[in-house]
Amino acid sequence: MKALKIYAIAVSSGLLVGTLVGWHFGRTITDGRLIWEEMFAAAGYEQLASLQYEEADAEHGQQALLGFTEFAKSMTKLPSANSDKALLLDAGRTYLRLAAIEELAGNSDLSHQYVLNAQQTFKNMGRDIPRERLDKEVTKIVALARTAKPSS
Amino acid sequence: MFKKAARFALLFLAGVGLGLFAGWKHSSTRERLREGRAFGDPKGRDFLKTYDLVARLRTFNLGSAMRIQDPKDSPQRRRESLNLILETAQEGRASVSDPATLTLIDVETGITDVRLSMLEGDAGDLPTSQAWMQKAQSTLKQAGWKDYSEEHLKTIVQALNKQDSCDTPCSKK
Repeated sequence: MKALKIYAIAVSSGLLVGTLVGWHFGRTITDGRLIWEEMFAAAGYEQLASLQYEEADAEHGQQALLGFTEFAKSMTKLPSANSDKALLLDAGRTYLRLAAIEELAGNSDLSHQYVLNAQQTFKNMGRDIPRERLDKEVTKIVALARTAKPSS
Repeated sequence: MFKKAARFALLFLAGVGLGLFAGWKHSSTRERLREGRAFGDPKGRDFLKTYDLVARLRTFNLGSAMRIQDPKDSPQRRRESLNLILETAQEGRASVSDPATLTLIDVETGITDVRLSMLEGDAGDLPTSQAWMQKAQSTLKQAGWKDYSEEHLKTIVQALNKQDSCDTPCSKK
């Protein structure tokens, strides 16, 4: 009876130690894997959207950028994306590109809306950038697009 | 006395093993559930499928770019890793409904086709190389690409190979 008690103590103390260690490592390693997955997804989508923006016609390029902003917006709800500032930075820059596209198309109101979205996105990552500075960035992108594509 | 101690240690270790498995499994499942908690509705589930697909494609992409840039890697292994991207993209398409994402998957497929074309070209199999290039051009043309000439696509892919292989932690050894 005494021996049984000792063996029960051995199993239960082993179980306790194992569960605590397993819990800790399971959590840490899974968190790490989820963060990797989040980084890969964000970088993958952003790369394809940027490539499409540079290589495809205006309509497809804009569709890709809008797709990325939607994707990034959904991604911010993931706990693993909480500390990913690069995602917000990319989303903010994409809004500026969209603002430039609308500016080029003569849609000032929509362009303004995208600048506001960019400002909000940068604010979410802790950077309060004045609107005037963002407007200047949009003007730069527009000028660049005009020199690169004089026909459009 | 020694026998008892050995039995105690054995049972303790068995407990540790079981505990490790249970603790690991439970916390890992819990973290994964927590990750997807905000995506319970159908739209959210669609997003998670797209998210998973894009992450997997990126992983395979980095792997194949690294293989392409590594002169020691065999053409067969490069071919296999590129085919894995095509298979993943093909299988994943069924779970994606967003047109913008579907177009981006086409872009990924087109880029992989160009990589395969260059690989077969380097191996001296010109008919297969041409077939892959034609497939890539048709896919990218459909995705709205303005310049889908062979030369331009090769330039883009070379730049991407360099960029992607630099993005991998292994390449920074």
